[in-house]
Amino acid sequence: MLSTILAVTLATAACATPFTGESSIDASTAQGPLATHDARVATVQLTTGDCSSDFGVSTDIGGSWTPDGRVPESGSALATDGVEAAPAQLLAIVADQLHLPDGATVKDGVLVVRDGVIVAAGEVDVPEGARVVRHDGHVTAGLVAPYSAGYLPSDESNENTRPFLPDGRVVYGFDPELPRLADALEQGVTTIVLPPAVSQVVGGRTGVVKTYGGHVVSRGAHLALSMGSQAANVTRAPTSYGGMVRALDGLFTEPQGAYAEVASGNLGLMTYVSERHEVDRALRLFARHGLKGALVGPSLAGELAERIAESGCSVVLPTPDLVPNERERDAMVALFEAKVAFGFWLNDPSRYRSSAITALRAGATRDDALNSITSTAAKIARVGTSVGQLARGFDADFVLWSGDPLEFTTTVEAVYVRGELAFGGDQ
Amino acid sequence: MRSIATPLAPLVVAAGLFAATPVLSASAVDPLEPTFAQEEEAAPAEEPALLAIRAARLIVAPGREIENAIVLVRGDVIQAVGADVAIPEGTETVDAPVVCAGFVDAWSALGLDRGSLFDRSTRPSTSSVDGLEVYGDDYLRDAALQAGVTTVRSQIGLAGNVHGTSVALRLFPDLSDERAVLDPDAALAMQVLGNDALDRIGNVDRLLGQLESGAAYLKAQRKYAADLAEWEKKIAELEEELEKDFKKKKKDRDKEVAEAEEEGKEYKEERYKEDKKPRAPRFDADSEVLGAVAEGELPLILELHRIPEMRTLLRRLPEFGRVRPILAGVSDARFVADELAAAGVVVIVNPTTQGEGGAFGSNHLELAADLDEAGVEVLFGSGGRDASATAALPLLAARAVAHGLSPEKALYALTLGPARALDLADRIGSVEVGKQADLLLLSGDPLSATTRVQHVLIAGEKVLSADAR
Repeated sequence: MLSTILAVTLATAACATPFTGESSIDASTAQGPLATHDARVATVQLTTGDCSSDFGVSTDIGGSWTPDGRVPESGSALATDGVEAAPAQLLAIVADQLHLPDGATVKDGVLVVRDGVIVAAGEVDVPEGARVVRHDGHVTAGLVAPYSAGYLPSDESNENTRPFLPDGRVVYGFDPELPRLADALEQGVTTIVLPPAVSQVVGGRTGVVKTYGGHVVSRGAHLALSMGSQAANVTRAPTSYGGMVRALDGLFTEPQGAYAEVASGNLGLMTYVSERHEVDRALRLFARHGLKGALVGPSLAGELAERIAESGCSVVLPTPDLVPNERERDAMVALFEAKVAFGFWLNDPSRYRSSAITALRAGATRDDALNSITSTAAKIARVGTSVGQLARGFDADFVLWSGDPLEFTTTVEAVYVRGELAFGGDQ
Repeated sequence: MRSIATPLAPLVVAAGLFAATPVLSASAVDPLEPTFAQEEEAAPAEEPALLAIRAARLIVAPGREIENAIVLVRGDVIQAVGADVAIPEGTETVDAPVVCAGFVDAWSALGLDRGSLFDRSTRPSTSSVDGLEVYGDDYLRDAALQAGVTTVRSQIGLAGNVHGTSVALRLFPDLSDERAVLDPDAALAMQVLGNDALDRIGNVDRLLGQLESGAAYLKAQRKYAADLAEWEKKIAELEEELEKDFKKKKKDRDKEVAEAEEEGKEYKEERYKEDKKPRAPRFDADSEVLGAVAEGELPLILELHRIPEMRTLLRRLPEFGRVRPILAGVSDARFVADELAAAGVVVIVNPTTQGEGGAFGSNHLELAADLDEAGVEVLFGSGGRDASATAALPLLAARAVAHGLSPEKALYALTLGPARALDLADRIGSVEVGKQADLLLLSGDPLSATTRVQHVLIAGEKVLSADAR
């Protein structure tokens, strides 16, 4: 375990994140559910989301993690490194339709995976000795949900006593055995963002986790704000929008700490706003302090699409109805036209992919629709350099679909998380 | 029932039925007028216009397709279907990549007044036609048409256990169009809901008890009809006899009267049992409907979700050999799928997700596929409570395909299945000669997310065109 800590510290030091000190906390509390996995997991969680400016070790190497936590020198992508542990098993998925990051779909595309990481994707040869899975359908990256509701033990999402908790970390409430995670996995969702309660003005840091294996991708991707009516409370301050804004205005002028990290761009920002006037209020706050981030929850955000586009913010929409009403549809279309990055909430997993199909039906391009639940979602979740795309260096999270993922009639046939078959399949 | 229709006279049926509805009857045609027969004899100049539809792919009925087919529509009726149908010169022609029959929502709330929808005082004879709101919710009907739904079965009275009879409604833009009501009594609808399983079991027994009394009423009515016929025959015989031997009879009677006088007795006229005319049982509209259901003339649609009530019903169904049960909801039915199949029960599944437990059980997306695999005939419906849900039904049907149902079965559950179950298949449900031209002209496969409805025809009329939106 000591070596793990060393590896973790080495990896994070390079990123100059403010969280280096916490690595030891994580490793030494290795009895909890988060630590039931190998050292590699601990490495991953500290080397991706927290260094958003850089690729973490989990994402830009072709090599593998060794049992002693040493990161091997990067060499030929497919070379094994002569480590004493079991030789790295190569897995090759040959898909009828392989969806690549630029929107291209490759016929008979090949996805090569080693040690949980994609080492090649596209029109490449199947490496010798690889275990081959042929799939007569589409393969995309595992779906990513930039905001989830109901994926924490219930009392974690009802916090009402402490309206400002900037250093709280939702990931400590993560329960990898929550049955709903398996429901999400079965629908192809492999990565989700855990947000704090919307009843807190500042709820702390979001966590980004996998739906399988208890993997933690980021322990603090964003600072989560709520500027919704839920955060103004009669039993404790702030009791009004005015009080909420005044408090935030003060906090975002602090020279150090979480708020300063957000202002400098080192830490993401995710703001819950549901009404249009709440979006307006948030945009004004952001403009005063030079902030940008994800606006979560405003179904009619599109009516302010131009301003949102100017602010550089992205939007996470609540699950739209299968047949949205005209106003909601127009609002969505306005977002597409203003080229605002958008994603969707995850609540009912069986409806998650439907959201992207609804966007497509409303007029989004196929790429934008699919990206809204994969790569764009991952970028909004600030883990866009490690998940959400089938590209070299990314986590080998992918879904084998029976057909086009943007059809309602298509079924999830298998889901892999970090190269491991997590749901379905025959192998 | 009053709704029994002849296949070739939908107009007659619709008009006749409206005659029973005072508000809408003003413009109704005399139901006894054989309108179609007249049209056939009419001069060619008065013939309804022809419309030709050229379909790259025609779905005649689920599983029966013709490539490069032509559908010829004369007025409101499909006149010819096939690959080698000749299009008469000068006929208006429309092209479409895919053509299929309009979708049917077997369990909808469209077209009804909100107050009536959740009325709690309905009785078996309450007709949903009387709850029609022909002016409201036009945007919801428009959304349903855009999704390809042309016919709905809508039902009022959801707050009570006995809802009354369902209306089969065609989604004309103007619902006051008399052709909109395809059948004012498509079925009798009831529900067994509630959180207490014992209550629900009791309710199944009570509802079946009502059917029993309906059957008894029908039996009494039939006995009366038979007795009356017998009595009338007897009277006729006696009258004939009397006519024949009138003089002798009169003589005999006079003699008897004289004898009685002689003996100082009062003459007593002989009384015949034939003097007693059979008494008609009191007419009861509710029992009429219940009797028709017990006899299988009208299907029985029963919403239930959980095992205790399903088992109770299945156990008692053999007592009602002629009843045609259609079970709606059936969230937990996968546990009794084989029994439902054996009983020949038809189900209406709302292919969506619901919570676990409670009055509604737990509906799963695999439900339709599981029941179909067990051999149960599956139809789709949008749940009957939310008028806006009908527009999403075809998309939900596509999701049922993602969860194991074959595309053919999904299409069947949206078209021919409900048409058959509701006795409407003589008019709608497939693209066949003689049926009503309720058709969808689509840009692609009916279950594809990106398919657009190009035109919707009801009774041969273009009620929606994509380019007009």
